[in-house]
Amino acid sequence: MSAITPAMTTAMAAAQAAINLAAGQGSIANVTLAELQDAIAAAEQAYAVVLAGSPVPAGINLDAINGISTLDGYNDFVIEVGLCWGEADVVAVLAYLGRIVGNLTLLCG
Amino acid sequence: MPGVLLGSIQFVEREIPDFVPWGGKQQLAIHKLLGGTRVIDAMGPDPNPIKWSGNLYATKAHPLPSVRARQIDAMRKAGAQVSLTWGSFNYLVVVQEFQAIYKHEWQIAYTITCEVVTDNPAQSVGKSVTLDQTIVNDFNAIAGLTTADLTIDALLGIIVP
Repeated sequence: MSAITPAMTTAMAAAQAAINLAAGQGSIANVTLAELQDAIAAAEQAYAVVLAGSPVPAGINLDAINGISTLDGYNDFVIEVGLCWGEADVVAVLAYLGRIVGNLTLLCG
Repeated sequence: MPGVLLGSIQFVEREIPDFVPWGGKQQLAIHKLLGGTRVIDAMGPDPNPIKWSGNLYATKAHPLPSVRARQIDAMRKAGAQVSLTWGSFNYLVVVQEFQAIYKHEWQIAYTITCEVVTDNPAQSVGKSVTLDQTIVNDFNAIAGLTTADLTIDALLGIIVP
């Protein structure tokens, strides 16, 4: 039930490919700023795609009765848990991507 | 050794704290004499407590972070000396303080303070991680999230036993 969409996966793969291309056979720490530019742009793009696709939990209003049965409420709960769980996935991916972008950006310093 | 290892508890992936402060003081006996002369006797190192904050999450290997939080708290209660290792650092410590904040069954925030018994530089066998390896590890962690996710059923199994 991951909330990671194919578009996100594609963007992240593109970022990884750009970093590998910049690093070549050596270390990413030894490349020029010009070579690093595309890698940073791709990593930032991946971050933007994941951020834009983050599911937003709607919350559960315990005072509002949705539907006519307990099962309806339970189903609402399942949907909400799915959103929360998906959001947790995306937030985790964002954290990793953020660190990648941060590390690459530090190289430019 | 990836991550931070405290006794038998390993902090991995997102659980790894952003920073771990270390260092300390030199114990000094300062004798101030007539005429402004000072005599300073170095009495030995006095390491600062090692303190950090983070979150324990549900992982495939450890689906219940609350269990691991209790294990860390048990270390505090026991007052036993345990090994603390990260990167190329290794210490023998006692868990002086452990504060946990229950957010969800799958997420527990905590702050831990370890009092240093000894610094073991000779046992610091960990290898420093390169920037390339850090980036590769991050991408591998992302790949793990996209392919090996806990299911909602498993989550509901926790909430509704």
